[in-house]
Amino acid sequence: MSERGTRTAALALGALLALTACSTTTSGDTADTGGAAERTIEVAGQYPIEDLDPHGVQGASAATGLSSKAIFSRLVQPDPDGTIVADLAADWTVNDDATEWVFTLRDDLVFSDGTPVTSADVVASFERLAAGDSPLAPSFANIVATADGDATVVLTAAAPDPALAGKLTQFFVLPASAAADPAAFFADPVGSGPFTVETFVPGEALELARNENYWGDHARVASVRISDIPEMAARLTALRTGEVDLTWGVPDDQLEPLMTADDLVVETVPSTLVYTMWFNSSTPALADTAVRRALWKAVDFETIIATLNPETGEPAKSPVAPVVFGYAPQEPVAYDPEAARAELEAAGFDFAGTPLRLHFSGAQFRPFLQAVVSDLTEIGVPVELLEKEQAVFTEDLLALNWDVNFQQVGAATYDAATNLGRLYPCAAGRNGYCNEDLDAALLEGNTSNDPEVRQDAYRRATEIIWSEAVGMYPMQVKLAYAWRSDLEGVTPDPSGFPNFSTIEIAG
Amino acid sequence: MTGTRLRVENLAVAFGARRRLVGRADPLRAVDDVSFHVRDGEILGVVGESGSGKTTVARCVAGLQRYAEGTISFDDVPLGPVSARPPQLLRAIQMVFQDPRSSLNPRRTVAQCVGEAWTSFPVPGSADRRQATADLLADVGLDPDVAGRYPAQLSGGQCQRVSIARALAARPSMLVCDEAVSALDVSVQAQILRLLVDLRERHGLCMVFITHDLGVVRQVADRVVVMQHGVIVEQGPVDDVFAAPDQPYTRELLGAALDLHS
Amino acid sequence: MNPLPETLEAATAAATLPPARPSRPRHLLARVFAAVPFVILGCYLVAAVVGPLLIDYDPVDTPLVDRLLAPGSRTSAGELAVLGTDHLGRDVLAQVVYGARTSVLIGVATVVVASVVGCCVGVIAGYSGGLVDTVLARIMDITLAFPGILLAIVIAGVLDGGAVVVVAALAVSGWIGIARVARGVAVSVRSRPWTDAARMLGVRPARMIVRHVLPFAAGPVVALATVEFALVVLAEAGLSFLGVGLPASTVSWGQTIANGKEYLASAWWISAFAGVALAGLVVSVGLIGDAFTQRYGRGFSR
Repeated sequence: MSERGTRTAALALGALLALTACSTTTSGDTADTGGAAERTIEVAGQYPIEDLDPHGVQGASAATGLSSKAIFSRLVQPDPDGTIVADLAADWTVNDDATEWVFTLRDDLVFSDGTPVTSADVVASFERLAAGDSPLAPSFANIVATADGDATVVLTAAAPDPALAGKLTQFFVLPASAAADPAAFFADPVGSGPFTVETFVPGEALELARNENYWGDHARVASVRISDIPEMAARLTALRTGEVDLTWGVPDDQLEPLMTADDLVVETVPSTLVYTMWFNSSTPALADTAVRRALWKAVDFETIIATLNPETGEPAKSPVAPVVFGYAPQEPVAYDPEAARAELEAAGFDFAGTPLRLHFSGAQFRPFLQAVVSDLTEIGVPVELLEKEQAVFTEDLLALNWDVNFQQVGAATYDAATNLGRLYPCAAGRNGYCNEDLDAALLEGNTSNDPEVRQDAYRRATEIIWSEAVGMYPMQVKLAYAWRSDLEGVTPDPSGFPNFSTIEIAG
Repeated sequence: MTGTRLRVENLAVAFGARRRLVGRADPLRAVDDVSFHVRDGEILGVVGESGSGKTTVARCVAGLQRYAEGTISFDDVPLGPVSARPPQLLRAIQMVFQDPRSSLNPRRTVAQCVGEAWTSFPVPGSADRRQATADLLADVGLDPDVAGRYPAQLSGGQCQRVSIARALAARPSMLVCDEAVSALDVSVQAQILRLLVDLRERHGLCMVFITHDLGVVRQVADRVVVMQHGVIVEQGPVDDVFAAPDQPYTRELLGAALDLHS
Repeated sequence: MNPLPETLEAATAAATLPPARPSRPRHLLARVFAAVPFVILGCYLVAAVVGPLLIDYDPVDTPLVDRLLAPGSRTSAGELAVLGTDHLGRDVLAQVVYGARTSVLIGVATVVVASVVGCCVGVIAGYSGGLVDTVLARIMDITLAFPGILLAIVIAGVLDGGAVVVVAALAVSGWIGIARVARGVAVSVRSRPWTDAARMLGVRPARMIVRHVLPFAAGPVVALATVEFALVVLAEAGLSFLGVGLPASTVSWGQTIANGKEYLASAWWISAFAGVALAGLVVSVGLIGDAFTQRYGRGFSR
């Protein structure tokens, strides 16, 4: 053939290769040959870190949560099993109606620049967070922080707030001086966490060095670099070649080759996330409880989970995860398409009506939802699967511009107050469902200071939500971690915030 | 042979007067102050070497070239560009081009080429196109069988006959022949010239015959116009001009032609 | 008509060189090779037209128990999955066949739209000349300055997906090449004596364009459109791969390849077969386009 013909062929082949293989990287030569102790631990984060400010607009994001946990400290922190334990605070007390919380700081606290951490820093940080534009700010809106001497902080809530300790796991303490000029501060941040910032390129990489002034056990490695590799396939290739030492949030289908690799360790940990598929009860077709329950029955979630998420999921038994306070297991809804069809017919469901709009954001959820749509279509329920860009999704979510919503809902505070208590009251208006009994139970759970009373209140709330099928709660998410087998001391974290300071490289 | 049909007066055409990036280029005057006329049934030869402006004059008469100054009229009606001519005037003047091949659309058959005129000017008798085409082809000395052929399947002389047939299809009063035989072999040239003279007799045509070849002019033309550098240097009856040329240029041309023909 | 020069050339070669091997079979072999892309394209067309009638496929139906089956496996329903199944248990062969139909339809529709628009604009520009030509030619140059695929991604991304939007997005960059070729032909034909003759016969511009200009643009435009068809098929797959192309309810090779990209290590067959199908179509159409360009691209052959 002509020269042009050959060129066209080469062009087409090249484009094909680019299409099929653009998601794999080939570089694998960066594993240091230097002394093992000097090696930087390379981490591929789940999401790109855009901002280091734990009090800023990104304050509630998983990426900023990860960096904050390495750089800063909190008054209290969650154990991997969800128990709230001390961090900067040596001890704390709460009064009977849960309106006054007193925290006593440790006496050996210093920031990375050597200055002591005082109650004034805590109060200044609290005020900065509460007054700022962080999504977390509303959680602390009616609470006043006061310093009582250098080592004591008093938080006074206008209304009883029994879940405050849980909420404080998202509150990081910065030096009081940070508020004066945040831009200058975050150019070279000073914190009281196990690491300090070496370099930071937003959206790309954060390089951390051991904080030699850390008040707790010093990090075992000198440096950690968290970089963003957007494509999962590229991230895992990097892990296998040794370019990356640790990553997490690995999808199920990618786990198999990692599990069989000799030089990798894979572990999963139950997270606080639950696949939550609300029905919009304000949609006429879905206003009837019988319809919602029937639809739930029509989807074979057990098979879907067993095939698509055998390692990274298990059937959920509650809208909240077991590690969350207020967890009350329910009876899973059994798959029964015939019964579902019959119940829908009995309830007068319009099978020929406009398709139900199932909206979601995030391509990783597409196969799961395609399988859900397949099952619903099987019994004749028309469903339109709408994948939306994140901002559009959020806007439509709040505007109830959907019939079935898909989200992973967690409880970052390890307390049902921020999930059930926040999302399900009639006043919240998040899913069109309104029930006085539910409101009453949630109010009691959100305000009582007696853990047993709260636990019981959330149990009652959960039973209503489950039996009324406010949504479908198919799957409890497990987070899969994978790391090079020469790392020791990796503890998978349910929230995706692994503690790098306990990691060391086996020599 | 009395009435004047085509009248060209003070014709001037300038090229290169388009605006340039810097300043304005001097226009090149291709034709300047040219005046002549063609009488009924007359063949006017226009001779000159290449670049003398004779083809430009032909294109002005045909309406394919805009001109800056002067007037051209036919039967005392002013002649504008083809797009502005009324149908009667449009059909009255037809042209035969130099290159017989490129003057025929290679994607159309002889019949389609010849019949093109009839979509614009329905002529009596053209209703039966097949017969009309056959008649026209016979008129120019072609076998009616060539009607279905494409120009590529014809010889140069045949192509030129088709061109002439196409011009005749419009029932013109005047033909403008622009070097109509110069691309053909000598023997074929003679046949075409004979045909043209013959057609003049049969259809009462007048012609403007542009050529660089004095021998050709001598064969067919009644009067001759000699052009050099865009102006007319001499005009008059063929025999007079050839027998006693006034101008040195004409003598030069004649001399060159004699050299060639001897 | 055309093999004539080749025959002559072969004959001369045989005459001047020592007769090492007879030239006739070699010539035959060349013709066989030249026919290969046409045969391949024919297979695609047959698959696109007949395939969907023979193979039943519903992209919504996801038999999960049959997911990621290797080529040649049996599904739970006992059917043979010739090319395996994807991550949702859907048959890959069916996706390749239905994808062929999508690719061919989108490709043809886009090329037709681009050719019609391109021919109109190009011929009008070239035949009119003057200011009209200058303005249209500048518009073409400006549009050409944008990278075509980027423009398509922007348009397909901004407007909500659908076949019409994809065709429009791809045609937006596709018409310019056609227009430039058509314009070139028109400019060249405009100065030919036969158009002068036609004008003297009172032929109106519209008829003039149809009779005397378009037939000469047809050859080069068809040649270019063929090459463009290949690029459109590739671009459509690219758009669908990026998720801004056709909606998920239509089957597209680009989507199939994208679906399989996470499984390249474990289930290569998802991306591979759709990719091979795409490459085969693009390469063979590209070769046909080159052959057309050689034969008709220069415009004035018969």
